[in-house]
Order: sequence, then C-alpha cells, then structure tokens
Amino acid sequence: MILQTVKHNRLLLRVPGFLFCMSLFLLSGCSEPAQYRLNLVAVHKVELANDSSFESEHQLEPIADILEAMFGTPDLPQIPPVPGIEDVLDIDKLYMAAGPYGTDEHGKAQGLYRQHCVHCHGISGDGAGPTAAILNPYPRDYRLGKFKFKSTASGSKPTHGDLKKTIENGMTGTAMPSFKLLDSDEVEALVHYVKYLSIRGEVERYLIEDGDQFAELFTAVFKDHSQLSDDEKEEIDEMSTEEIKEEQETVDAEIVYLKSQENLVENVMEFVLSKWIEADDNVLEIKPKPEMNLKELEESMANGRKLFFSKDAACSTCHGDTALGDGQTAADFYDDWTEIPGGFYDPKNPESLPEFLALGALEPRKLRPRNLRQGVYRGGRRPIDIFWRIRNGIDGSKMPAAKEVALTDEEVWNLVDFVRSALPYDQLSRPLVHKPENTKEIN
Amino acid sequence: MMLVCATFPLIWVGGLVTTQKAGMAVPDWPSTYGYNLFLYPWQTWLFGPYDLFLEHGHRILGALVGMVAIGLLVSILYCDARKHLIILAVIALVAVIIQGVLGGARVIQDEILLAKIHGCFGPFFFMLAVALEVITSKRWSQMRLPCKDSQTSTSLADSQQIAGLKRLAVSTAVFAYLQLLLGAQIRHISPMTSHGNFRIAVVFHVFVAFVVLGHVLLLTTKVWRHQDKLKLLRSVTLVASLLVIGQVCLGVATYTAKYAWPAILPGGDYFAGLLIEAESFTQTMIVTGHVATGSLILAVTTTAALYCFKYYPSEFRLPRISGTTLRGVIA
Ligand code: HEC
Ligand code: HEC
Repeated sequence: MILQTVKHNRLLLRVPGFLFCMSLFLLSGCSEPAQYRLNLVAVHKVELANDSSFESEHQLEPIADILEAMFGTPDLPQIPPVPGIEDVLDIDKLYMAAGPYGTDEHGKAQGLYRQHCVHCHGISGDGAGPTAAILNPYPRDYRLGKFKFKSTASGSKPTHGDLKKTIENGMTGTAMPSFKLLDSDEVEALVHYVKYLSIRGEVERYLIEDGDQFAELFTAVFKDHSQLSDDEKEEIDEMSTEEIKEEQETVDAEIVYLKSQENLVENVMEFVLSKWIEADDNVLEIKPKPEMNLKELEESMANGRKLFFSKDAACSTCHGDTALGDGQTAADFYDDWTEIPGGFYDPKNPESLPEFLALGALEPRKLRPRNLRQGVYRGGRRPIDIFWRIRNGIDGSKMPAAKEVALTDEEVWNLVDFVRSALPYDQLSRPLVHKPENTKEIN
Repeated sequence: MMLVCATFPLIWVGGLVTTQKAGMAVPDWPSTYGYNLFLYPWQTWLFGPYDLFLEHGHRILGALVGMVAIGLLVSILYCDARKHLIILAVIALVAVIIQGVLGGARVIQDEILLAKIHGCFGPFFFMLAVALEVITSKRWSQMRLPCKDSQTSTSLADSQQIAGLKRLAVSTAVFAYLQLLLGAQIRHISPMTSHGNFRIAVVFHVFVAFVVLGHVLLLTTKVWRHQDKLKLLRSVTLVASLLVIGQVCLGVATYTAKYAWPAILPGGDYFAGLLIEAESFTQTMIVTGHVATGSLILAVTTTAALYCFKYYPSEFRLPRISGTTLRGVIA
C-alpha cells in the first residue's frame, strides 16, 4: 500500500519542483536602482513642435547633468545655492524624506517618500508611479508645479500649509490617502519633498521647453544623417564642412553658457523659484463668513441658485443644470496635465498619442466636472474650503476663478451656501440619470 | 510497531502545523502590518515597540519552525522511514534554511528582489509543510480505500473521470500558488516599475483569481457528485470553495481600502465619499487578511490534491501527468 502511494507521490514531488522553477521565472524581472527619469514626454512634445529631435550628447545629457548637479539624486538630494531658496526648502527635511526607507541610528524615520508616496506619485514625482494606471483620477504629476487645492490665487503656488493640509487630510473620493497617522514632522518632511520634486520638475521642463535654453540649440550639426529632419537635411547639405565645424563650436559655447551658474541662477531658478517664494503673499484675504439666521440663509441660497445658472458665473455650463456634473459641452475636455501646453496630448493631433504613451505618459482621460449632489469635496468640506475653490478656481482643471468673472465675496458666499445646502443629495437608491456627456454639442 | 511510528511524528506534526500557521502567516504579515504594504520595512525592529515586536516575533518564529523541521526529520528517520517522507522532510528542512537566509539577506541588503523571493518561497515552504502534515497524519494512514473493493466493477469511463479529478486537483493547487506569486509581485513593487507592467500584474492577478475560483468550484462539484462518499475530501473542497469566495471579496475590499472602489464594478456612487486613510487599522487588517487567506487557500487545495491521490490510488492506470501536461493546462 505504501509503495503504491509512493509511486503516485512521485508526481506530487515533481509538482513542487515545477512550481519552484515557475516562481524563479516570475522573479526574473530584476529591480533597477532608484534614479530620476528624464521628462521624455516633454522632450518629445518639443521635438514634435520644432520638427527636430533632441541630440543626446548635446541636449539630453547636459540637461540630466545640470539637474543632478543642482538637485542631486533620489538617494542624496541637494538644494541649488540660490538666494531665497532656504525659505522654501529645508535640506534636513529633504534628507528625511529621500532615500530608501528605514530608520537612522537615532531611530528617526527616513525615506518617507519611498515608503508612502512613490508607488503612486513616482520616483521623479511624475504622477506615473507603478499603481498610477489603475487609479482615477491619476496621481498628481508635481513637475508641472500646479496644485488644485490651495488658498492662494488662481495660477499661484500653494502655501506650505496648503500642501500639508492635503497630505494630512487626503482627498475624499480619490486614491490620495490621508496621512494623519504620521508624525507632524514627518508630514513636514514630505511637504518639503513634494516642493523639491515640484521645483526640480519645473526646472527640468524649463530647460527642455524654453526657447532660450536647450530646445532650439542647432544640434543638427552633431547628428547622424539619419537623425535629421527634412528641413535640417536641407540646411546641413548647404553648409560646408568648415561652416559645420564653426557651428559646432558655437553650440558647444552655448552649452557652456547654459550650464553656467549665471544662466541657472538668474534665468532658470529665478523663473521657477520666485513663484514659490511669493506663494504666502498670494493668500487671499477673506472676511469671515457672515453669521446668518435661517431666513438670511434662505435668501443667500436663493441668490446662489440664481448665480449658479447665470451667464456670468456659468457654473451650470460645466456642472450641469442638475449639478450632477454633466453639463460641460466641449468634446475635448482634459486637464492641464494631459492637454498641451502643460501636458502632452493635442486633441487636434491624436495620431501622436501612441508615441507619448510609449514614453510612459498615461492614457488621456476626460476631465469630469464634479457631481455637486454627493456632498463630496476633494479639497475639504468646510465653507472656507469651498469658498476658496469657487473664488480661486481649481488650477489645472479648468474650473475658473470667480474673481475673473467679477463676483464679489458676498456672491461667492451665496454660491457656497447654495452648493453646500440647497442642492438635494443624489439619491443613491434612485440616482438621477446623468446626461450623456456632450449631448448639447451632438444635438 | 507501525502504528507507534506513525503516531509519533503525528504529534510532532500537529505542533508543526500550528507553528506553520503562525509561522507562515507571520512572514506575510509584518510587511502589511506595520508601516508598509508594498515593501517590507527593514530595520523596523529599531523603529518602535510595535514593529520591534513584529519583526522580532517573525524571527523567533522562523527559528522555531526551523527547529521543528529538524525534529520532524529526526523523528521520521527513527520511526517512519518511508523513503519519500524522508526526502520530503529533508527538502523541508533545506527550504527552511534557505528561507531564513533569504530573509536575513533581504534585511541586510534591502533588495526588493530578495524580498520577492522571500515572499514567494514562503508559500512554497508552507505547501511542503502541509504536504508533510497530511502524509504523516493518522487520517492519511487510516483513510479507507473504497476503490479497492469496487475495483472490479469500475469502468474505464470512471477511471478517466478520476484521472480528470486528480488533474483538476493538482492544477487548482498550482494556480493557487501562481496566484500567490502574482500577489507578491503586486505587494513588492519597486519604485522604478512602470505603471503599464503593474497594471498587467493586477489584471493578471484578477484573471487568475477567477481561474482559481472556477477550478475550486468545479473540483467541489465533482467531488460532491462522485458516488463515493469520502467525507474528508468533501469537507476539504467545501472549505476551499468558501475560502476562495471569501478571498475574492477580500480582494475587492483590499483594492477599495488601498485605492478606491474598483471603477469597473457597479455601485461606485456608494463609495464616492470614501476617504482612504493610509496605514489605518482597517486598511492593514483587510490587506493582511487577504494575504493570509491566500496562504490558507494554498494549504487547503494542496490537501485536497493529496487526498485525491490517496483516495484513488494506483489501481487505475492514469495517463501520466507530467510537467508538460501541467504546463499545457496552464498555458
Ligand atoms: C494610492 C495612491 C496615492 C498615494 C500613496 C499618495 N497619493 Fe498623493 N495623490 C494621489 C492622487 C490620485 C492625487 C490626485 C487627486 C486629484 O487630482 O483630485 C494625489 C494628489 C496629491 C497632491 C496634490 C494636491 C493638490 O492640491 O493638487 C499632493 C501634494 C500629494 N498627492 C502628495 C502626496 C504625498 C506627499 C504622498 C505620500 C505621503 C502621497 N501623495 C501619496 C494618490 C496618491
Ligand atoms: C469650465 C468648467 C467649470 C465651470 C464653469 C465651473 N466648474 Fe466647478 N468644477 C469643474 C471641474 C472640472 C471640477 C473638478 C476639479 C477636479 O477636482 O479635478 C470642479 C469642481 C468643483 C467643486 C468641487 C471642489 C472640491 O473640493 O471637490 C465645486 C464646489 C465647484 N466646482 C463649484 C463650482 C461653482 C460654484 C461654479 C460657478 C461659479 C463652478 N464650479 C464653475 C469645472 C467647472
């Protein structure tokens, strides 16, 4: 009897061996060391616009070198020596957030970003971490330097406190978690790291995209004939070998200048950093919400309703007549991280999309105005939060600032009351049918 | 004599399984438990009392499992020297040692690849241990073999059916293991992984989940419909079915606790107001539960496969199930 079992167990013994081999096979995808990735999506965008490809030795490599010299590596961050930067970034905090995670010899946490954020926001802060593709909305790409939920005027940077609030409270209804279980100084460190990645990303984009930096260097003189675009071919063919040599020297000299402290501090950093330094000055002064009795509140809501459907505020054009978020009519409605110029996608030229996706861009997704009948606010649900949203707009997501359409603060409070209190909740048991997007345009 | 020899390891193995459950659940746990989900915290035993407790506990348990494995080998050598048992016990011991070294290396080098191997090897060892337990147990040696009596009356169709059952049982266990491997891929992501690859891993994990579910349900129905009444096999498959169904729900819960209600499922509006709280008690519990149940399913399906083989032994000449057929099943 035992013998029989043995015979059959031979098969059973073989199975584990097979499984073992299979696990080794699955593991074969080896892990790369942590490195910043160049913003190739931005590079390709410029290449398409200029009809000329970037040359690696004279454009891509110098850009990467500059970035590393200024900002260090993911394991050892650095702050470029620029006046005023110490008000924005704190190197000790960055050390705490950077690097592989664990604890230092004093038991202090380290590598917080890689412990808590990197799988969504990515090692370079590009919002394209491993989990990004399965999330909706996508995690924030910090490199654009735009943030949605903040107390500052439209187009300005968030304050330190705004970012801290976002990280502590998370964003309801999105994958962005609340980190309120972390120590306060750990959150501080993460705020600094987010700003650092953001500034680094903006500098990178500036170096790649700005006409006075690397974008328009005439590197055709260094390129292999096969790399040249038709225009470049023509130009190069007309040049003599000496002229080409001369031109090469000019480009080399330009690169030396572009790499110089003078350029980096006075042009690049000045452009990027000043907005971060000014952020605190751009917080809008707001008189506190007036106290109201019931009757006044009703009046305020009624006024808010009028404004909501009015031509000026035009909230309903996006959020819909029912406020279900189904009113926007544009066929191409994408956020600034997706659509050019901030993003990469040009709805008028969708053929180039696969090239960007191959470079790691995330599939474009249509931007949806919020369904205001669920009482869900990503940027916080206090009246003041909603006041900021309406008054300042939501950067990067096309929701305009009420200031631009000349609403007074009082009218904004009316809208806040209307949005918060006058809209019926979407009944979950019998939800209203959303209008199909773009019905207005199709009809 | 035989009996004594069989019961002695049994006592040991009873202990082993208990430690296994604890010992094998724990390696999966600390990573989820403490402060990270995707990567094992290394050096966290320095970090705070809770982490210290977990990591240290993990190490102590690992050592304990190692010692039990030695004891098991010794007792098998003395009392129940079935050759394949000795081989299995030796493999188990070597596996424990390798796993221990891997764990140590993972901590020292902080290498995600090692963490993955450590994570994949854990369930593998668990499967071995379960196999050992099943084979040495009293239930195993006392299992009645009804087929023997009815051998003469069994038709060819029946024997083919049984062969099919065995094959199904084995592939169920194989898929259960594959699923754990995929799960480990998802848990231990390196920061440099591309989002495309991760999405593929997730989709594949979900796909294999349904493959496992289908296999387990099919196996259960087959076993229950079969005329022979083998209570043990029946209850094992039933438990497997319940576990897998629960596991799918836990999987959805895990996704929701980490990222949000999966958009492909209906009912998203109910979760519109969900705020995810990183490393909250609920989140870690759900995720850990998912991981632990995964190991449990592997154990149960392995047991079921072994029982199938024991219950329908060699009198029926089976088409040999070789690695190639198995691969065929998987492909
Ligand atoms: C599970 C994925 C996930 C993790 C982990 C995560 N985030 Fe996010 N985060 C998101 C998503 C998704 C958004 C975008 C939400 C939106 O656009 O409405 C976001 C947005 C943000 C924003 C932008 C807020 C704004 O006003 O625009 C900041 C800052 C941020 N996250 C910081 C962090 C930090 C710091 C960590 C780590 C402590 C972190 N996130 C971890 C998913 C994540
Ligand atoms: C051009 C289209 C557009 C217009 C006009 C518009 N919104 Fe929005 N609104 C959006 C989009 C898009 C979002 C979602 C932003 C996001 O999180 O990505 C949004 C979000 C909101 C939110 C949710 C903020 C949060 O914290 O989650 C509120 C409240 C809101 N809008 C109110 C208004 C009001 C009041 C008006 C009229 C003054 C208005 N909107 C006009 C597009 C618009």
